[in-house]
Amino acid sequence: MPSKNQTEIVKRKLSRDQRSKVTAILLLMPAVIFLLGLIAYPLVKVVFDSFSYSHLINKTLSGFAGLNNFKKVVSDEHFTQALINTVVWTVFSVLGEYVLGLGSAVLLNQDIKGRTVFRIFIFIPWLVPIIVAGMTWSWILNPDFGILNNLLVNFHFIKTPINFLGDKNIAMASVIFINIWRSFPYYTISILAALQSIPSDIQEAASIDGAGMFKRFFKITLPQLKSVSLVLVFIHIIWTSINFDFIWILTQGGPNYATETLPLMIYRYSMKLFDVGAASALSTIMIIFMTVLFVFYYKKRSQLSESAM
Amino acid sequence: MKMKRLLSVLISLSLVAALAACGSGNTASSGTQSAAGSTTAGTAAKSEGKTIEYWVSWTPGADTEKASLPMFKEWEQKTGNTINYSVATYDMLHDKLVTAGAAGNAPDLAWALPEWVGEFNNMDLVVNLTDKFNAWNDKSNLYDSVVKSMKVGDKVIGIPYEMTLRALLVHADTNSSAGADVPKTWDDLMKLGDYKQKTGKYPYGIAATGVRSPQELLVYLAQKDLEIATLQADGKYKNTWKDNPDQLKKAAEVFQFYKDLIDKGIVDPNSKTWGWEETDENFATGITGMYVSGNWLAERESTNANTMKDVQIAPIPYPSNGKAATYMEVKPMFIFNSSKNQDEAFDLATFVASKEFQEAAFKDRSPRSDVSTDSKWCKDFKALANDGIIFPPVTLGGVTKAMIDSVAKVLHDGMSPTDAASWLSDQINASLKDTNELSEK
Repeated sequence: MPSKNQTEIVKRKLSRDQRSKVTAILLLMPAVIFLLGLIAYPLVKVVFDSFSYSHLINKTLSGFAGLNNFKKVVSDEHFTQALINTVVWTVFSVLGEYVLGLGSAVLLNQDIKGRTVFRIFIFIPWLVPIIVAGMTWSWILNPDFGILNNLLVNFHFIKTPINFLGDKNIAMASVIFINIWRSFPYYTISILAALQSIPSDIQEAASIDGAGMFKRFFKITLPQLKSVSLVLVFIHIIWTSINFDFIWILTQGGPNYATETLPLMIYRYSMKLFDVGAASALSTIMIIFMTVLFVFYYKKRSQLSESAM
Repeated sequence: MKMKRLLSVLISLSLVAALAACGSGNTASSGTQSAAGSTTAGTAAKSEGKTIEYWVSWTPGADTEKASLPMFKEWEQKTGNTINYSVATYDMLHDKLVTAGAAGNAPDLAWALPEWVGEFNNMDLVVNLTDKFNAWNDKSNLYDSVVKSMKVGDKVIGIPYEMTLRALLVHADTNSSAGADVPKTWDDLMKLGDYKQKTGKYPYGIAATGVRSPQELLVYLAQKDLEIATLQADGKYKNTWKDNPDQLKKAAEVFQFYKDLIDKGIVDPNSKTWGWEETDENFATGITGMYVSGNWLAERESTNANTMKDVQIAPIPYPSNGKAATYMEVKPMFIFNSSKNQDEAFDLATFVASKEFQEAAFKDRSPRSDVSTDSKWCKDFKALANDGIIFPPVTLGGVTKAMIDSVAKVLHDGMSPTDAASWLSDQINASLKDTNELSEK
């Protein structure tokens, strides 16, 4: 136990600046512990496991694996399809969400009656929990007792029900459509906020100068949305490409792997085949993709910030 | 200034404490319930008793839950222990148990499927109950086949809580409208091509995805006297179809049967992507004329009274050159190695397997020979017990996935039945090799 005198000496030795640094470190400590324990450690462990033989059942498999886990997953007969599916799922989901979000935000930015009500209603799909949205859509699209097929058949648009989630030619499109339906409100609200921050006098000046509606949109409105669009698109590219739950609830990667993406493949390797090494190798591949994407985003973001200065 | 520093230190400490609390092994996890039905967050075990973490997979609100909860209360009062139960579907339960078990944080006791026996044993997640089981007086009231299915080698690793067999459930009125008799063989089934035209319903159903799909395939293979993995002299397993042309031919005939069911309009083409959720629902709501399922569908007599009133029970159709077989599903309760309450968990498991509990909650589908009823859901099902088959006690994750994929290859990709049989044989052996269970003989 330090004596009172010793404590006084320590106190006197620390300058005001040093004391505030100590306080800052103390305050940051919980966040640092959290980041190290729940993010850094699992990340490092996954990368480590991807170069090791690690199997939950076969204990004879252990030690350094080199690139064998990577070779195993890349040579999996479903890997190429899963990679293509991940790209298709991500690109078309984000594209659809952006177009629909932008369109609805522009409409909701107009001075129309009941605008507040529309704004509230449009946000509802995003508020619905994924499990509820997924289960509801799978019932709506069911070929035997789904309401959509019932309506389409009864109004003579089609002769026989369509198995939207069970036909491998249209299952991915169906899943993407449902994902767009659920996610576009997030874009709507974000873009709407950005639209409302554009000074109206710029639009008015352009209008006086003879710029038409489309010219004003493409020359004034859209460039003003560049920053928010970049953030939205890149965040959603990452969120969508690593998404597991939505596809799992709707199709579990089926029919016959038609909607299996890389995250579902990781799940298959870890929870069905118990091959932690191979699952980690796939995860590492995804981490590399995501890192490249983030670097690209960071550079773009920096360029935007510099040009705004 | 002093106060400011003190405050900042206190805030830091409280944040650390909060984070530590988040990661602590508190037994009262969110979403779990006590036998009384109230959430247990914040409740502690009785001072003299222990809290038993018990993971189950009943349908919330259905008869099994209604009958079990008062029994749980009774056990709690008798022993002074508390049951902290969580409910999840079997798929979720499997993944939760694997991850919790690997992290050394598994529950004390959990329901399980027979397909998990091999893999949980190989993962060394579950307790060897042989000594406790041998000392259990009530064990003589279990069917021999039930006890056998709880074993890996000579080791008992589970206590059974439910036994079901699969049978052909028939909507008798729909069959009458079609002028169809109950099919006894695959050939009889294939003659029902005009059933849909006459009734607007498909005569039969298959599950081509999910946990039910490999169970159905296992039965059709067994009807041809085939095993997916055969025990070899070295104590390990192997799929032997490719070593024996006759076996490969028979396996190909099973895949041809699947193909014919679709091609001849005996099953709905959409069933290529159905799991048990759709097939059971379609039978219970009368969309399908006949389907192979279990006696849990008795619960649908109350929810679908109109469509379930004409249900008859018959043996599963089998090939003319084969034999009768059905899937016997004996569901075990496992006690986990990480449990600190293994004695109490065993006491609870044997209470659930007791005559009193079984008569209350599992009276039509009990693994006990002294619990049964005169209802068709019990009597007619148990009459098929001699034809019951089970999965081999190997790690089945990769094997059952390959079984599902093999059916998909035939029905979706148009792979020939012979190629599918050959592919499945290779995949089963590859999976056994991955898990170090493949015989080198």
